[in-house]
Amino acid sequence: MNSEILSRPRFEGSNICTWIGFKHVMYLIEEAVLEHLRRHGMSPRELYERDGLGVEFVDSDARIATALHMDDLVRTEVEPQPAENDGDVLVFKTASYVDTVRAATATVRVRLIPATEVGTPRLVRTAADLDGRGTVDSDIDGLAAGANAIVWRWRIPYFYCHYSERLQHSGYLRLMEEVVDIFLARRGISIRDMLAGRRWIPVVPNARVRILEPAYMEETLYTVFTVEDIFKDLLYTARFDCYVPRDDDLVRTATGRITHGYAEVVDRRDWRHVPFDDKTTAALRAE
Amino acid sequence: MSTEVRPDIDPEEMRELVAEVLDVDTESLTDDAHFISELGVDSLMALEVLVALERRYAIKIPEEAVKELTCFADVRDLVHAKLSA
Repeated sequence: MNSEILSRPRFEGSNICTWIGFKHVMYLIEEAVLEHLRRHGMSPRELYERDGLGVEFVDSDARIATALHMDDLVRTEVEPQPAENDGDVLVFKTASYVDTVRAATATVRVRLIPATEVGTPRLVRTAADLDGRGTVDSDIDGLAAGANAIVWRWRIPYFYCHYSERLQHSGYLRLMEEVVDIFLARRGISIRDMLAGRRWIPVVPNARVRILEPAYMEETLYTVFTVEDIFKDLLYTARFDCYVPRDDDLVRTATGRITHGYAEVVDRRDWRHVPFDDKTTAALRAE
Repeated sequence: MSTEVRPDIDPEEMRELVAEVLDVDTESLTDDAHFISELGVDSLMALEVLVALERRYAIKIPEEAVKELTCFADVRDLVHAKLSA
């Protein structure tokens, strides 16, 4: 049975004028699926406290058709799909509307994972990157493999985690947003510079994050952001991969993709899409 | 716009391609369903349609053409026109 959930974007999600960033659009989708589970007898709290199960969003693939704004009342329809992997993975399609305008759609996959007891010892390898935002370079430990990429090594903080130990879906969304910010700054086209110089902001028509393996609190996490494709002077798509060191290997714990364009801020209310200029294209191409 | 339909292009395959990019049911992507008012497609999403069409059909579409793509029939006609040029 479908659910229909009403919600508003978090105030925190309006970073530029009143537009809501992609991460907070995906948060709304996550919250709508959680509410659907509650309405169908699968309260995440009860699942955890009573049954020892955690709700893990293992895949979220969102398309943002039009921008959400601060104060928008968003109606999200959640439609369950046939489960996958012998019932192990719950699948949902969502569509989010403001009035009658379809603002975003997504396909979301959820697994119920056995929760470990709090305090279970787990050996994790933590780098010494305890200060600031860790270490960023065009390559670390060969992960960029010569591609148009940056690698960011950081320590997973507790507030990106859930169930007392695991890096959670929303934490990966935060990492995706953060690595984009770092990437742009390193390439000389930081968000602030583009705002101040051109009144440009990055806009995201689609993003996807998939969790492949658990990553644990305070583990060293390598996030690789690789520009894969620049379409004309209009859009670029980048891959997002996360790794943690296990034994003598780097294990990929998540992957994803995000597409960006640029928009020019017309006034406090409106923006319009703009093509990249030469400086931006050169920066994206690492020229 | 009325353009001769090329027999080697399957319009339903094109409809599926566009529907996938827009993440809508193929059935709701009727010939005249308006991209903006009915399907909520903004300029950036329309560009993604353009990306998919250029790749699938190996054609070049100027960015300005996006503004003229208001429904699937426009997309189909544009692709046929480009392939026939």
